[in-house]
Amino acid sequence: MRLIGTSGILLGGLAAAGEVMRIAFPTARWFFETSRQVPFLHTDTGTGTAFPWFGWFSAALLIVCGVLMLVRSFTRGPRNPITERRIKRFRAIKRGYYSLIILLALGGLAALDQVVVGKQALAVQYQGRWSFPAFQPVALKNKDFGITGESPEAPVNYRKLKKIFHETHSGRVILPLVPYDPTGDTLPPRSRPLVEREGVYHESGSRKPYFGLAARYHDVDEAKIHIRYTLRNGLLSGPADGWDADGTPVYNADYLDGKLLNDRYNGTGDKEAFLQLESSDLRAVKYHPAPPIPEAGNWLGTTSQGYDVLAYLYGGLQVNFKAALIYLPIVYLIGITTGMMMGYFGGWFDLAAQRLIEVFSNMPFLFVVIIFSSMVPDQFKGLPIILTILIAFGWMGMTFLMRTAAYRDKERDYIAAARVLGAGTPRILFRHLLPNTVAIIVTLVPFTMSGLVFSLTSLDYLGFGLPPEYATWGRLLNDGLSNLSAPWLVTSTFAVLVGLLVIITFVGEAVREAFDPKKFAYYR
Amino acid sequence: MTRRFMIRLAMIPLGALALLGTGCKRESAEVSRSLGFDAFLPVYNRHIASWLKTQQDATNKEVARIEAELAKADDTAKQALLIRAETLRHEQEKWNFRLALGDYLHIGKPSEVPADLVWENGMDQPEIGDPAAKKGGVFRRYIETFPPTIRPFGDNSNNSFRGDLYDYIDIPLVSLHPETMQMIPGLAKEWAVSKDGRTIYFHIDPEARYSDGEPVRARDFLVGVYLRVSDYIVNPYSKQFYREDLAQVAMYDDLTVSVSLPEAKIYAPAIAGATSPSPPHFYAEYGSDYNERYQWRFPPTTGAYEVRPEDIIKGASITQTRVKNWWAKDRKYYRHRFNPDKIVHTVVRDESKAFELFRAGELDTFFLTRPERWYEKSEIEPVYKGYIERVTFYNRYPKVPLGLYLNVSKPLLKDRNIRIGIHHAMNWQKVIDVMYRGDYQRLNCFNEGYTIFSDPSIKARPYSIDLARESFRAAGFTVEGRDGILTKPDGARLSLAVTYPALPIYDRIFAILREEAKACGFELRLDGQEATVAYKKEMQKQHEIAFGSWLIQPPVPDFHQFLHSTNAFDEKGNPKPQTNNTFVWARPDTDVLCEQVRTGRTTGELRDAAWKLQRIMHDEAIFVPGFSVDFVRVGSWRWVRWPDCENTRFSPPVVYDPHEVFVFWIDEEMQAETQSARRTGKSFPESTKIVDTYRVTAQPAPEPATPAPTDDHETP
Repeated sequence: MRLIGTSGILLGGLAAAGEVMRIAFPTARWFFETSRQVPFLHTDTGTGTAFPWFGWFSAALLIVCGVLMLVRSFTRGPRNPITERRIKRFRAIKRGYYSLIILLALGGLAALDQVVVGKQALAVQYQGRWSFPAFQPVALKNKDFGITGESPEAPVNYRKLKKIFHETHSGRVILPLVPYDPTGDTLPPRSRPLVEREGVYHESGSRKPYFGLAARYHDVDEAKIHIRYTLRNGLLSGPADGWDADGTPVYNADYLDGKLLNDRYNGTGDKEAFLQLESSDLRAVKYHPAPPIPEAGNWLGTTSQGYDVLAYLYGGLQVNFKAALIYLPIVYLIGITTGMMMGYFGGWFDLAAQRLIEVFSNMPFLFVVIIFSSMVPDQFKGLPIILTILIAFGWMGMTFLMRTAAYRDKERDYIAAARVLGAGTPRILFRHLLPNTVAIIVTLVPFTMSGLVFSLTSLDYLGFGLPPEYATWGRLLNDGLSNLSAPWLVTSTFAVLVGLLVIITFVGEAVREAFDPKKFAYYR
Repeated sequence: MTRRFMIRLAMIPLGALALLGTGCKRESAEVSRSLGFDAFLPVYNRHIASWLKTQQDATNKEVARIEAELAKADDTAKQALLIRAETLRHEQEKWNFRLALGDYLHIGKPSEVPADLVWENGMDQPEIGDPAAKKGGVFRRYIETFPPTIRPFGDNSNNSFRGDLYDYIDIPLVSLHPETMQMIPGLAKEWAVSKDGRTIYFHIDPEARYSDGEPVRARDFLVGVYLRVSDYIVNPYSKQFYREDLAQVAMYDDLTVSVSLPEAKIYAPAIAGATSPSPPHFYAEYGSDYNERYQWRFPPTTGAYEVRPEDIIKGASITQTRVKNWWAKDRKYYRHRFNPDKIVHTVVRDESKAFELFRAGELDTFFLTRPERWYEKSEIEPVYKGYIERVTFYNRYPKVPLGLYLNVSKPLLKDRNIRIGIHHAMNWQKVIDVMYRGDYQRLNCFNEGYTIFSDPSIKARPYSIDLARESFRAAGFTVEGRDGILTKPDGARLSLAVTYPALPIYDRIFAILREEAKACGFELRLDGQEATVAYKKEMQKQHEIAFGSWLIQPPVPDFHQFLHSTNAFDEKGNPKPQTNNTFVWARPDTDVLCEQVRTGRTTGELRDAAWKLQRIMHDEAIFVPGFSVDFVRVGSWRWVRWPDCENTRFSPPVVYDPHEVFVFWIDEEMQAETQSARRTGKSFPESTKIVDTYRVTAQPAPEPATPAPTDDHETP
């Protein structure tokens, strides 16, 4: 309780402080960023700047809730012995307990955000001064670091800056662990060095002769190809194409078993000069989706879009946690309240609500999503809309459970006692009824979460989910299935998705067992 | 030969008798049934005449109105009105000409053909195909869906299979040589153009026969028009085409026919000569139930392949059989083409499954143009062992104008500086490098690649953060927001949505463009929609930026439907829905130029107007050119032979798909040899060829022309 309260205060405080001091704190920046991006979460003040009311509102809400929790944790008496016993029992179930620890660790990792994964450098030392691009809300530009060769107005490519600084010793760059953004960071096609042994080319670290495309590069990092060859059995064999430094195709040649058959040059200048141009050694060309290339930092390869798979998976994890943190409280608030009211009041309210739920649960969910996604203007598309739809269809599940529990308990003595003492309906519902039915709710939570992850993934898989600027596992899975020749896509996504769902399920099982009231009835 | 012909002759009356016999029986049971052409002729002629009259009246009224306005107008308005009046006078002249022609479907006398015509026969062009081609064998292809019908017209006839059944097979009166783009004879032995350039006379080849042996007669062309415009079928497009795009179809004797166009045009004989004949004896049962009655009946064709009733296996396959004793088999431009005895089209619903069938040798050829197919999917044993041969063929087909169409009626896009900024903010080169492995090329302008009708000096604006920001600054976007997007001092954001069909490949392309545009301070919002929704939005002119392309048939580029003001706004001044002017572009000078391209009679005149229009489109930056492909890559089993001779290397160059000219052939000996090699594991040398005989090589870059700024011509 204390921990949650403190972290709430911290998060809210950081969000507000970040907004005022213009520092982008990991995760805490999200409230204000979302508020600015989503049209209905801010108001235009008329002077060209938007007032991000949602950001301030969430920050305030977090702080207030945090303070309340903290205060209550001190003012409240000793902890309920039943709760105490349940927690003890949960800890005793090792599988669930460790799963929870892993889950929390993953949550913590996801919360670290741009500290772990991102293309913005954590810190840059240039001309003796340190700057922290990852924590600044405004992107720095090339001119800020004295790069004049390319466009001075372009945003800095820190991966390149690191190389430049390394060569010129003019500064230092500290990059995140995975120096790629989950989305919006399309990498140039990858390549790996080839090793020549007795005139036959091998991929480095492989014994077999190389089959496929290889190239000499004008610029390896930007993947500007000078001449691209086809290799068979490690020998140049088949067509070759050449491009000048501007990327115009100017050269064609044919090779057979390492020997040049014929070539044609149709660019300006002289062919020999073109062939003599300075370029890299022969490298194996790995177009997207590229296999894992540890030396380039793509530990799990790239997607067919040209994103780093590891960064993309991380982005997907963040989206899942974010969605869960918004979805779960809202769905439970609606579901529990409605369910308890149905059971407690009974009568016409119960009947009406039941019919409403039946109508909702008979609506074909997928159609609604499809219709919505074609109706919603493009500015509004994103996580909020998808979550709204999911919430609209997700609250029904627990109402009937809560209704039964309320029906059963409302005739019990403690409710009658509370009523006699003069307690109002809300007080009876939330202070007396809810704590006594908490077992039902708590056991449901992990399963709702896994259901959410699953439905987000399947919606994205079908193409009706989040827009492309969100990293989603569903889209990665889809990409992998249409590129079965790139197994690193499917295997890594599948492993992560199943891993997360399994962990959540383990936690859920342990919670259910810990809260099971029948346990003692059976064994004692 | 003659004997067989005699037998055929003898068979015709027999067949006719049989037909009559069945016809008689039917007549007793049903309403009488006949072609109905003779009754239709006067009715339709009256209909067209009265339609022309109303059009003429409307134009006359409009002219009067414009002239009245012109009298009151001040100098600036006068300019536009004068151009409008000029266009209208042109229209008036067109109606007058058409009314003077008389009957739309005209049966005349031989004496009506002018005596002083200069007849041409187009026999001076190079042959098409390879003399080494052998006849025989079976060629196997796949279709993704079974056609809903095999009728050449009527409901659902415009399906994707009709090209294989009719368009590539039928021999028109006159067609264009697929390399030189000069006119070559087909059904017509020779043709002549009238003095005013509007009427084209054709002498039908006396040997021309349908596949059932019946000769082709002049009347059949009139019947062809009748069948397509009759009220028995619902076909508004055909009706409009014959009403507006042709002025008259006339016959003078059995072998002389003429087609008149409303306006003189370059390539008029080929345009007029596209009219096709319909055999009247086949359509003897034509009537209101045409759609059902003729659903699966293949009409006798003038082309080399017919479909026999037993070869239509519904839902599974359609087989075309080469016509025995085809009349054109020894004609100069046809003798080395249409070689396989049979062409089998099997339904394979899934492309990747079709590829597996190709790999297993169940299909003979497959397109490998897409980079992943060429580089990864075709790295397979049959290729290494030389059973499957791969070819990259550079063609000369005009480049499809694939790119972004900016709607200039939207507030931000009215500003030319913003449009230019958008051009510089789109990093198509990165799209080509990342998504297409550097194989495709940047498109340079709208209607590129129409040989002399395209201005080679226009180059697409390259991606440049500095130039883009400079243009945006000039448009007043000077403040950079927290998220890196530029805004005006009053808070207006530089943010536009691009509407496109939400296919995974397009999602990826636009993710790259969006990311790179952001570095220029421009927010490109992605409005990926289901394909029909996106198209509808575009046709309603509700898009800001639309992504797409149009297929425009060579040899002449088309600008009218994309730029002319009549397609831009309706009477109330709102963007006009359901037209292809997705730029919503309207300007008097482009209207004039569009008309010139449409009605130019000499190549010089046409070229000048087309070049000017391309230059205007470039300077005004309304079309952001995307990428283009100037080659096709084909994988074919080694028994499928492609031409390799003086006249034709692989295929004539002006084709979209090398299969459509039918120059390949099946070598049955090689087929047997390859099949036995597959069994024994014997291999042949791997064959990957590049045919760049027809490649349009990079021309030396001309001096960059100074753009003529025309900011004052904002669209209303």
